[in-house]
Amino acid sequence: MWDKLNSLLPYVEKPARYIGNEINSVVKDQGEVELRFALAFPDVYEIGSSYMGFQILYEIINDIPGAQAERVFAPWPDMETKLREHDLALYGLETKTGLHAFDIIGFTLQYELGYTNILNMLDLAGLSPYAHERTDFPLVLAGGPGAMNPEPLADFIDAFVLGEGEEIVLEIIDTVREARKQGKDKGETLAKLALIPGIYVPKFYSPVYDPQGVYKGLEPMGDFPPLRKRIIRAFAGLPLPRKLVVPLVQPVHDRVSIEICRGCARGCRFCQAGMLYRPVRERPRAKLVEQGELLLRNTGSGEISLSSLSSADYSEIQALVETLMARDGTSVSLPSLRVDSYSVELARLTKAVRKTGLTLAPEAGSQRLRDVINKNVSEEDIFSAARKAFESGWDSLKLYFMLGLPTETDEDIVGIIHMVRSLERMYREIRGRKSRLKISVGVSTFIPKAHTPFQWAAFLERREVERRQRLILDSMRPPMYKVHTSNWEESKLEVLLARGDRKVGRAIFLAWQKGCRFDAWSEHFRPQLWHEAFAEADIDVSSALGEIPLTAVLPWDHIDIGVSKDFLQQELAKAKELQETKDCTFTDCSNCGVCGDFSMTPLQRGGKPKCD
Amino acid sequence: MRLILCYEKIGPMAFVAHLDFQQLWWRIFRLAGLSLEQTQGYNPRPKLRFALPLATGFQGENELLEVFLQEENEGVVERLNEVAPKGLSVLASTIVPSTFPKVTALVDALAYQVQLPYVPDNLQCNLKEAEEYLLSAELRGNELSLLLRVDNQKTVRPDVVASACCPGYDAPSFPITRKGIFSNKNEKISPWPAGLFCLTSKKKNTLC
Ligand code: SF4
Ligand code: SF4
Repeated sequence: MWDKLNSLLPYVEKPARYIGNEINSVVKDQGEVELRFALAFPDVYEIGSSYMGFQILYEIINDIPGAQAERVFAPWPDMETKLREHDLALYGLETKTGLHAFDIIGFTLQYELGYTNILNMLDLAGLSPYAHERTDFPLVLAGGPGAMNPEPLADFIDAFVLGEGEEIVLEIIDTVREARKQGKDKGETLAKLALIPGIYVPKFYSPVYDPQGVYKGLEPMGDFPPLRKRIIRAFAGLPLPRKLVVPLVQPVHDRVSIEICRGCARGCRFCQAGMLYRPVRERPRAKLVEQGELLLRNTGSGEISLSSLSSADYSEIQALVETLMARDGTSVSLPSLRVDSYSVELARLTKAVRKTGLTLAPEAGSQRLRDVINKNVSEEDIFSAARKAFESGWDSLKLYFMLGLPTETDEDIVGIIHMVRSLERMYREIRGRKSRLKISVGVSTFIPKAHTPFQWAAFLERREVERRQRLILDSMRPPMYKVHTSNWEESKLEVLLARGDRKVGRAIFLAWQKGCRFDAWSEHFRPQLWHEAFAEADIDVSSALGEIPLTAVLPWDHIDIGVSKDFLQQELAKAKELQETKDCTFTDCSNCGVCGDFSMTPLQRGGKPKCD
Repeated sequence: MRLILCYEKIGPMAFVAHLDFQQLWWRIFRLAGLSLEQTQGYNPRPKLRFALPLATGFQGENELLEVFLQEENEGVVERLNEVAPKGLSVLASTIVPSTFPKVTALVDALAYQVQLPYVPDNLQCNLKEAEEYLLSAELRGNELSLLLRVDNQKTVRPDVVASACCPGYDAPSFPITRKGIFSNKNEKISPWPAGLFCLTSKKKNTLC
């Protein structure tokens, strides 16, 4: 294999993507390997190789005697051409074994625009993309946020893994290993897997439609446990990884990241992660320090990133930052800041962020719209955060907004422009005329996502989106402003896949067949082909983009994330009334349902932390 | 502590691009618990000086790297090799004084070995640059050995020379190995770094 690779790698861009051999990668004595598990990331190496979820699973699987975890990423089109020319199967980086010879291939579904890459990777392994055409092993699994609306991929994936993977992966491996020992075939193994809570085997459920062709739900063809996501109840005791594989094609940042807490209960009504990862759980500070130091030592990194959906909310964040900073030669970074001066103060403490600039996400330009989306951030919070930033010496600011949110009007867009202008004036007052402010404004387009209060909302039509984008672009010109807006066609596809049902699978297949790959990369995105694919699959795109009636059965209703549909509806109603729902870790429980479902005691963080 | 390391970058490591390779070295030093001196300036980074970057895809059997350690250290070679990934190993190290010339200034010629796809009839290559930089060429079977002069870090690429010898083949299909780095400093410098070859006399570490 290596000989063949040697002759084709000189012809591809960034060949180090395809060689494995990284520091901390694991190649076991192959004579002892009984079970081969591919962690498959449907995007290119630089994007996927630092993904923490897989770094964690990699270690957990490789800690099991007899199991070999390998990593595989989507080959860039130049490498795809070479693999096909030389008739080489896509392979695991560790041992260069072709994917078809694995027992399990596990994909992660981090974003919808990677879906065609999944089909392509299976095809490159010499496997059919369609699950029913693959009669033998490997089993093809998929997990991650995308698995919470699995239907668009139901035709391709043998089993979906719902929720957090650290414990269930052991159960999966046990079951598959046992089945293999007993000589069970793929179908029998899937039947066993389907009995594990948190596993959804789509072929054991058939969709039901009424005479008008309206979807009415799934009919299980057997006795299976409820399709409820898995969570780690004893999160505080869950160890951090000891080592991380160090990518050979360097991602932008050379840092290790430690997950200080899981979940975020701020309750922004558009936010899928906020709903999916409830309830909020924390790791104790002493453990984070101890295990974080070990990780730094074993990985040879000088920077530690305190990751979570909302790092500044961690109960002892300031003390944690200070302890880690005190370590010689270590810098600390906080990837997710709240919009308030406390967070900026924390960022100032860490210094690391100074190089990169400060990022704040007010999401909406007016107080009214921020109330609608439950982004509980006031004008005052925003300005005091910015003031603190400017006073502390920052000259660049990144602001994130969403466009096309439910109820948005031009006034809200003007609000964005005003906010940015006022920040600029404030900067001049603080720093003087001569200093140079760089503001970058990211304006993404609102995507209604499954399992959120806004899951029923309409996606805004093209003309309107582009008109509102123009309003912003025309009033904020370079070089002082760098405005980034999303491509409407890309956002549209995201909606169609994120809210799609089983029929959408046909469109994904056709789009892939027509040549769609790397849809998340604008240079490879081909909306025309997708347009044809949806038409040929006979999908009514315009109604799929529109508002969904509250009474409809949703394609993801059978997936239980713990948060009740009633709660989501209440939140939608409260949005219309501009009513706030507070973060339950700082106040009372707002009865989303998840703590009850998992018999968890809600985390209480006491009063909102104040700096100094 | 100023050191010149001689290392090999072979097998899979040949495909690691120079910038990534530099970061890999930083990582290896940190993993080995050896602190490098930092560059001056706004964005300080560990100081590393490569004799001459190796093109992505080429193997190197005797590459030279100059480093500055913050402290005196024992067993540097072993400590680095313990953490380096497969295909990268340190072969030797030489402690040099602060007055010693920069490693980049030692490079006067490079020896390459090229595996040609077939045995060419003769070694006629009509290449202008070849005239200027080619010191010697020798063919044994399909193995072409080249010694290329370096002038102010300028030289001709061995794949370009090889392509000129083998009509009909494009460069990447030649597996290329840099066998060594040559200097004509001869007796003028001391200590003579391990892994550096002498161009003008055949006394030390001769290769050709
Ligand atoms: S703060 Fe809001 S947007 Fe951010 S993770 Fe929490 S709920 Fe989501
Ligand atoms: S059940 Fe209550 S405490 Fe638990 S996450 Fe939901 S709102 Fe928060």
